[in-house]
Amino acid sequence: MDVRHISILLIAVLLYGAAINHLNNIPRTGVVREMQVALPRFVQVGLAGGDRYLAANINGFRALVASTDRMQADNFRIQGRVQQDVAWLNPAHEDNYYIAAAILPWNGEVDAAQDVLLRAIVARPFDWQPIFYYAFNLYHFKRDPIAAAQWLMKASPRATDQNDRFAIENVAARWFEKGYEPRVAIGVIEGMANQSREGGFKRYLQTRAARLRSLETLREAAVKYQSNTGRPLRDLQELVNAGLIRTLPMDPFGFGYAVDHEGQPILLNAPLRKPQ
Amino acid sequence: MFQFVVSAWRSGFRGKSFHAIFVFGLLLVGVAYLTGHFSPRQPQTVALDVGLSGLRFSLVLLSLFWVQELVGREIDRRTVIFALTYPVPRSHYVIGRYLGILALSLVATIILGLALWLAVILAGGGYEQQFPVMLGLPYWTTIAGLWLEVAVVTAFALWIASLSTVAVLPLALGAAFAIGANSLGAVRDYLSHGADGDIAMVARFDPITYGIQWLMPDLSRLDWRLWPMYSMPPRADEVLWAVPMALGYIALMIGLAATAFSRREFT
Repeated sequence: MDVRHISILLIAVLLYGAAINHLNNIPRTGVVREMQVALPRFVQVGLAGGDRYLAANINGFRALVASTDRMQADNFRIQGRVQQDVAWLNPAHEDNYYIAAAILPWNGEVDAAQDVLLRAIVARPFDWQPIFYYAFNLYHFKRDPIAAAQWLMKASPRATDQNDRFAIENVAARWFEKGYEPRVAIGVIEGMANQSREGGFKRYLQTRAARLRSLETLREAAVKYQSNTGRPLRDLQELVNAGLIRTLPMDPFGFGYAVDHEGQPILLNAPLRKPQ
Repeated sequence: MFQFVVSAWRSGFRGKSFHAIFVFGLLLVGVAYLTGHFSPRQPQTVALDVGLSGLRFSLVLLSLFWVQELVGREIDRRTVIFALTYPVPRSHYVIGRYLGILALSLVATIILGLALWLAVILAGGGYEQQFPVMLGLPYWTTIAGLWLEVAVVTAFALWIASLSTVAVLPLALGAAFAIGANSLGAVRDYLSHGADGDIAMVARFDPITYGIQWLMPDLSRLDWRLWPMYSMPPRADEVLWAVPMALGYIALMIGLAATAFSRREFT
């Protein structure tokens, strides 16, 4: 190899090294963060070799793996979009609507969850559960028991088991009659956990149900506290001091509980304005 | 013509790329089995869904490699001239090779189909799904649809091979065709439902994609996986027209390939 060749190689190496060095200090040109994570649906289908079902599954795994992590409101918005994409790619995807119902509305993404569920209702005419969760979200998050009960009645003819049908109609009647009751949520989350296969997702739902049960205990104590003292609760410790509960419950997620300005105990990680 | 089928059949099983891709296909079936573990509600359905995608991918790749090896490379190395010394029309060579590759891919489809069938049965580890998968007629009909899809892609690649002077071109264009023809259904679906309210996009791309389907068939019409997965059979009229669409396109491609091949000068 002559001197000319060596010097060309040397210049090339120097140029490459200098470029790498500079690029490391230059920030990447701004792409909207959400767009980096949730690609346009066209691109998703193309990347999956033109196979929309494969694209649906890839996104479905992302949603499932991400769901049990501790995420911020921004991440839940992206998860909502990812799950809506799955619902478009394969609206009949059972895990997708189930995970959407279990996670999204509880973290401020009620509309995304309802969109996923509505697509599942149309694509799975044999399945009563998407209607049930759609109705429950109307009941619990939109606080509209009448519309919820009306939707629930549509679920009943889809149930093949006579007992399921009676149970659904009973719940609908109760919602018509009694209006909104917060403890219904605990039963729904527990039911979802019982129906899931053993694994991380099931444990996650069981933990959430345990959290809601602790919240329920705190709320009942807060009601007693107000009727005893005539003033709303300001701090959870007051419940222990008043002898209404023995100790403050441990939050399995580590976020803890708090009291809102109306004296109602709330969960701390919920970005919702309405308490759960 | 029969000797071309037989020679394709023999050398098809001998190729190294065949062994590599076939093992890759079996690996994808293994991956499908494992993905079932991710699913909280429908492990067998997810295993089947991912497995069918994997099967499609590896079967298309296998056929494209066969076209490249049994036709593209023969033209490239001029060994095709020996084959053409037989006292038969040149079109027989094209049709014989096509039938040979079809037979090879049928065997690969059945073996990989059986492997996936087994993987789906084993997936889920005893969890009883509320809506079980259907592994009888619905499953094998879906596999047949998949094979027909592979047959269309193979015919297209063969036509490209009959024109091309570069051996790798049928593989590259065939893969692009397979992706494009499969995406077409999803794209048409997206546009026909208003493209999330993007009126300008619909106005611009709807006529284009409508035009494209006259040149490139919508292969997603041959994907009937909702039947074994969710017990939702395809509409009878959809199948009734999707199969003739595929057969018509295959006949057209083989016809074009035979014509191009007959006129081609090998020097």
